[in-house]
Amino acid sequence: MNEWTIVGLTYVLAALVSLLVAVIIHIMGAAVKRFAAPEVPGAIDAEAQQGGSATIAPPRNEEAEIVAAIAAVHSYIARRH
Amino acid sequence: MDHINFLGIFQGIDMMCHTFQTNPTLAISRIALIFVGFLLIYLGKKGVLEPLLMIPMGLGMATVNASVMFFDPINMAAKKAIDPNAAGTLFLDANVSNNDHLMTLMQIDWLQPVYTLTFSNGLVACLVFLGIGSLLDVGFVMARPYVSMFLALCAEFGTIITLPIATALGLNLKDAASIALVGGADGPMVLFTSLKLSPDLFVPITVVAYLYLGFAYGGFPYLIKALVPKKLRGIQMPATTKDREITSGQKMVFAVVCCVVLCLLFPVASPLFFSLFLGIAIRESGMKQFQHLVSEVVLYGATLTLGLLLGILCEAGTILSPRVLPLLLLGMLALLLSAIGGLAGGYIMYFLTRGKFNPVIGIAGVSCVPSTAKVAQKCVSAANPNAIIMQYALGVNISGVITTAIIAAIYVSLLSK
Repeated sequence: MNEWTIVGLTYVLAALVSLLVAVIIHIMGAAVKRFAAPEVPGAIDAEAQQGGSATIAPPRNEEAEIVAAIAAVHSYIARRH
Repeated sequence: MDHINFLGIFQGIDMMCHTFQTNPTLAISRIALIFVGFLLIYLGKKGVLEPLLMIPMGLGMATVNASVMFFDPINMAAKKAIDPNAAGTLFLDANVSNNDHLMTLMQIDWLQPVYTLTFSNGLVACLVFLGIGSLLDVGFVMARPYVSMFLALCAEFGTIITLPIATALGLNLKDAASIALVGGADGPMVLFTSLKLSPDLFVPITVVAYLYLGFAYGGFPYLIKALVPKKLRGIQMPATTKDREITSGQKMVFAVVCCVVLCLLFPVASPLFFSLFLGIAIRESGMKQFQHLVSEVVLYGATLTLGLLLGILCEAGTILSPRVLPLLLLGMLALLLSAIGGLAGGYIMYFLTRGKFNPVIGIAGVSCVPSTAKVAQKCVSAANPNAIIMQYALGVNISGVITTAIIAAIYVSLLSK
């Protein structure tokens, strides 16, 4: 096998396997969403799962979360550079 | 005492003087590597290069080249005639292949057990991967799997095309594949692959890979500025909460299924796949104690070991070889071509979406998690402070790890026979 055969074969195989990974993500994501039990609004925290008292998280404020996430990215970049 | 040999007391200086007389190139290289070590420490401290890796590596490099002495441990332990001109250190010997000699050195060189039991079998690469896995939020990939995998594949251009260039420069196919993998910008992967394919050259290849990854962090912003006009760099990506709609159950199922499928396809790279997906599974399972252990203790412990051993392996006598020169050139070329490939993928997405996709995101496919995603965001923020591409870049970035592992597995499967 010469180097160009290896190059061609590697790119084709890598593309096919990457596509397979993407398809697995797609199908698994859809399957879990379809068949899994619906999540209750508000999450039971890890402490509760280990025997503590169950605490229900407050309802999520999506807009505030996005703003906070963007601010966190900015401050992270500013800290690093 | 009639005569005191003061140079014999200061053995490092005695050795250096002796090397200057017998092999001046080696002596000059040792001094040069001591200064390169100082430079790495300085650049690490300044934050130009990754300090977690560069400070132990720089100190190791400077120290090991200063610590060479007249030392013949194998003959000394066997109580045979000692070679008075044999050179060695009390750190480790990377070139030992005889098992009896190895057992002797494990009892003499203080880092030989660590090197033999963690580095030369690829364990440290897997531990770093385990730690990286526990930091990865695969929700970013799962929100846009096709785009992320496509861009990551484009950013493997250097990993692929460097192979024929390396063979044209005289390297054999195995060595060419090992150095081409530097284009994937994943240190543990390069270490793992070169251990399998090029056991004679894995030290210089891994050192080149880690050095260049540090420089890539500083050099990529200039490449982005050169290849993407400011107007395109500032393209704002649509705000989306799609990433956070992916539940931990979906991520867990993805990690488990993907791990089993990839290990089934490529058993030769199964330690790497398993480590990465185990890290992801630990993160998504919510086991906080394990997550703390893996993402803090294991990852930082493995990084320190890796940096230290890489520095120690940079003893001039170990890495000086005429075969190293092309590696320096090819490593840089592989990274450069991968970055150009990633940006080309970004441009393809830009044209396919009729100008709605920021092409800078493509460079994040040169994995190096999360450095290239941060570099991409930094360049975009400089052009347009309101543009946030981080969630897109992280998806491509994580996909880059997976595609590099796939290509490494293909190279090892094709060439290791």
